[in-house]
Amino acid sequence: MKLPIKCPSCENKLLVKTLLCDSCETQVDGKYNLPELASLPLESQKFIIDFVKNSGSLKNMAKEMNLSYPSVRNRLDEVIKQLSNS
Amino acid sequence: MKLKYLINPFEKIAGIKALLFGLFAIILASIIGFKTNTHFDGVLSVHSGRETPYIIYFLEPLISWLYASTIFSIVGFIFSKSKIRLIDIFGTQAFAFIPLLPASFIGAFSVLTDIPEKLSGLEHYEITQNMFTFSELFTLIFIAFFVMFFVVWSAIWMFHGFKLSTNLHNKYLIPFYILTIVSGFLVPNYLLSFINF
Repeated sequence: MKLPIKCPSCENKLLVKTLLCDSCETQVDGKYNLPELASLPLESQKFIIDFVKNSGSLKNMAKEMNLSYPSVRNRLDEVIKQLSNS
Repeated sequence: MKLKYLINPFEKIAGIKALLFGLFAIILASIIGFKTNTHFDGVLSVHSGRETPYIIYFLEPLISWLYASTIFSIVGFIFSKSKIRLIDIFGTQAFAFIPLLPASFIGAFSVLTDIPEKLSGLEHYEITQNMFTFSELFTLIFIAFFVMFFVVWSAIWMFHGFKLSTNLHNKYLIPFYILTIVSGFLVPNYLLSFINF
């Protein structure tokens, strides 16, 4: 299920209010920021995970994704831009 | 093959692979051009013309490709925030020559030499419609559209190659692309004029 990161009403960033232990059902209430990565679109999160798994090699990623090197590099630049805007 | 790759193949191919395919196309076009008397003496320029040694047929598209790639590289290194690679710019621009390959056969149509011969030495008021046969006019129009189609296709690939390999913002991309294409009609010709064979 997709994690909602923006308020459907005013479009501002959402915060985490409650955390739940799945095993004993203990609830922790507070006001936590979402991790920076969680605030990225799912596609970008997947890209970052693939990037780390490929030891940061864009060449390997290009081969794996069947795309050209500059296509993958441009996607990385897009993710960097999203991170600096988040 | 998906239609979008006919418009922009560079999502899939760039770098050394694109460069090798592109250089092969340039060499092939120069050989066909030599046989059919077709010149590529400028960026996106195709026409039938004077007979020259083979080396000119080869140098014309080569210099045009080097010219466009060099300008795109300079613009990319100055304005792009990405870590761009020369091999991608030169590779994609060489690959963008491929759609022009079919145009290298146009010189084989005798109408391109027959009509200028008929017109040479005539004043404009001496030219009448009866001077040309229907098949000559039809062939001429067909060639014009045939060449235009492949030139436009190549121009689209050049643009996408420039865009992808430099990751530039449109405010730099479009003016420098137009400037390179327009100057590319003249500068390679000027550079070639220094080579005497």
